[in-house]
Amino acid sequence: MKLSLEGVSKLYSGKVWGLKDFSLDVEPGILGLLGPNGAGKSTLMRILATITKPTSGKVTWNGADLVRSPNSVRAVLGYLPQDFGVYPNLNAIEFLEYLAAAKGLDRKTARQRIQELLAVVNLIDARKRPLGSFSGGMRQRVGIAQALLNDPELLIVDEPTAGLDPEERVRFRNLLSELSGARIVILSTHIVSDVEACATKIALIARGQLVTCAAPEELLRSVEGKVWERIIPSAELPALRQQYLTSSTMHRSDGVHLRIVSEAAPGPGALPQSATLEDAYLYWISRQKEQ
Amino acid sequence: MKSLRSLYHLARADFLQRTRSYGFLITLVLTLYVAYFFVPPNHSSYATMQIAGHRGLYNSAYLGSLMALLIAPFLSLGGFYLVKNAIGRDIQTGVGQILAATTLSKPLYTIGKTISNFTVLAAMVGIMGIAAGVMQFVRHEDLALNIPQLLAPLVFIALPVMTVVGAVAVLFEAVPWLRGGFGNVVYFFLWIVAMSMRLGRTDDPHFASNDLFGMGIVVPSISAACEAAFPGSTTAGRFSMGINFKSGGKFWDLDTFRWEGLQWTGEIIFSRLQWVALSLGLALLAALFFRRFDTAKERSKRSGKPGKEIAQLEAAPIAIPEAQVRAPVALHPISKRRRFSFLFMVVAELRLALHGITLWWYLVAAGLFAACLFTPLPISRGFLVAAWIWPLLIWSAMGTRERRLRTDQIVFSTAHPLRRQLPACWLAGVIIAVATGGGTGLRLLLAGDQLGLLAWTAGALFIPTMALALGVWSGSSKLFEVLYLLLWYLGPANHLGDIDFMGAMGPLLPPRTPIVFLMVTAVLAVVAVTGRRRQLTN
Repeated sequence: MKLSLEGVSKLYSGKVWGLKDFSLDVEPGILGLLGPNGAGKSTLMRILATITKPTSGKVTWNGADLVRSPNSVRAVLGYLPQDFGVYPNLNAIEFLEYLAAAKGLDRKTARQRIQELLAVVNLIDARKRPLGSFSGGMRQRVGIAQALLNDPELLIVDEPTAGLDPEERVRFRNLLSELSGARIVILSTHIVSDVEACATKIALIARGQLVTCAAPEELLRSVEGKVWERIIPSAELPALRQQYLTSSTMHRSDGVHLRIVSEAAPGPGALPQSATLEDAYLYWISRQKEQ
Repeated sequence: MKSLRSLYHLARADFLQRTRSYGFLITLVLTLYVAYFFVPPNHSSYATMQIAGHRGLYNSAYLGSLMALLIAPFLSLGGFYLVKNAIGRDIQTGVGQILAATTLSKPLYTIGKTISNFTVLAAMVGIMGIAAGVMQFVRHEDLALNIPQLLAPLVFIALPVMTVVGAVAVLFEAVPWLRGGFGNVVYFFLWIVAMSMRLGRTDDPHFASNDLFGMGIVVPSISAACEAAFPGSTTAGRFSMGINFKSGGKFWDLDTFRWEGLQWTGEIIFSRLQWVALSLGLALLAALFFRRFDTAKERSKRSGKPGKEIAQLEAAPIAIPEAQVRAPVALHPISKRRRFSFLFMVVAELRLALHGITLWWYLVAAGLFAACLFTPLPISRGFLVAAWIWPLLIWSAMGTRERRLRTDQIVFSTAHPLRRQLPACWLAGVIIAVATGGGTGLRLLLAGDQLGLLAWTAGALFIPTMALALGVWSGSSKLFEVLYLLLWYLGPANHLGDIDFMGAMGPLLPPRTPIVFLMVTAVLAVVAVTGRRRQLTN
């Protein structure tokens, strides 16, 4: 089971690059896609989900070209778009039954699967309400359920935790970890903690390009010794922010605790700190910006 | 002053949003073509305005009036469907939620939308005016360009009609039960009524002040000029307007007379301003119905849930038992790879199409089916005409649902959407046609009426195919609703043989008609597949 991208680019009208020369090999596990807004994450997801064709480059699923034979992946694909709609007059069961038919599930399998999924996404009590009455978070959970309907080998979820409350977010992360065993899960988000919780590999994207792709621990190692804390008077804050890449600021009674990502110690009194994924993210994205 | 500023910006933003699209550009190009089409030279296969074989010389006054009299009814139908999305767009884009949180009043909003609708339609009338001037030189029957006489009919006849259309469109959008397809059907029949009233008033100047389309203002003056040039020509009252093709492949050779135009008196202008005042009244009436984007009230009634109940449902917290929160994930893998069931897909599409349909709908459909089955064949054909307008709103949703409700990314990322979902959707439409008009089909089968059966089959295949093709390409149900209603009204309902796609004329039906419609159906099927393929690859 292998998903490969070779020099994939997507040029939108108005000569805006959604993706530029993007190459990556994805193997079973959870790949977290991290990047700022407009980095090209959704473009990449839409290309992988066969919704959008790349302008150039090649995407293959187990060797089959996704542009030439999109159905090779569609048959085993579960896709949760970032922005999707529902049929408001249908209830959750009816909506999922419709999509189960489109995904080729037989009636018996579909019914059993839908019941399980509704339990998993915690919508059993609301299963007979019209979807039009659902809150944003509940609709998102219906979206998650539909993505899992066909027990996909390739699961692509774009900002899946948007609109979910903290409890549901934890449930969803756990669910992804449970599911990830023998399948490829691609999770796109700009929430670092979501990726931190379950990703086995992280790809950082900025300006449509792959910045780096590594295991979380490798990413952490890449910024080891580059994270510092300084305690400064408030008055110095603007100047230091201009000078250094800051990952957090906290006002305390003894001054402002400034967390700085820097190759060298940012001035006298700077104490080394253990790195977090957020520090690594900021470090790599800022490097990309400098280039 | 502040209100006027808000009004200006509201109308301006809406106008710019609509006009900065390729769709609007295409509409303007089509308008130009229509303007060209409205001014045929002599010895053409069709005529647009004539009095017993005579027409006015193409000078500024006559061309301006010709354009105004033709564009007013034309745009009052097509224009309504074009602009009837001003409020809908604000709901769809979410801008309405932002506007609702401002101090903008409801009357100001509906008036702003009416002005925006009007400006869109007025732009098209403006194009017609320019085209009229150009056509005067193209036809070169009179080269003296008189701009006031050219534009006055468009300004005083056509523009007031556009204000009414703009306001009615806003009113229909504001009234919940007129907002959707049902409103489109209601407006079509209102338009038919208005057109019939117009035709009855052409020769009676006393109706001028009550005549929306301005026929009573212009036509008597033109008729008088014709009578002066060709005495006795108007006694028969054979005034005709519209696209009249000469039968038998012959050509119109009309005698021309000179008409120098109207004196646009204060009285005439005042009579036209009454329509503008009425439009303002309609816009204010719309404000009474407009619910200011209150989502609890805006819910579709198809779910059968009143707004308050839905709001309560939304507000009701979903209790998550502690045990469930911590419960391990219990998803069983699907052991065997499934084989796609087309039948299951068709049933799913059928259920989707019929979801939310009331019992009354089924009762009327059953009644029509029975009437088709148990009445003599000539009467059965009449019931078929009714039976195949009844599911109009079900058919019109075909091909549009995925984009309109933003399920496209999910549905189109399933395997073989072109080979599976699209044909299943089409077949569901055909099943609905067969189920509603099946009574007549059985009668024709039993009677051994081969031509009738062929026409019935052509109709049952043509309707859903047309709905699917237009739905996929336009992304809206409106285009099918309008075109199908027009076709249905002119063909089966008024027995125009060439477009009687269901064979309502019985033995009088030209044998070529069902063949032609089967061919059109095949073309439309290709169009639908091409459109969906385009959606899949975009």
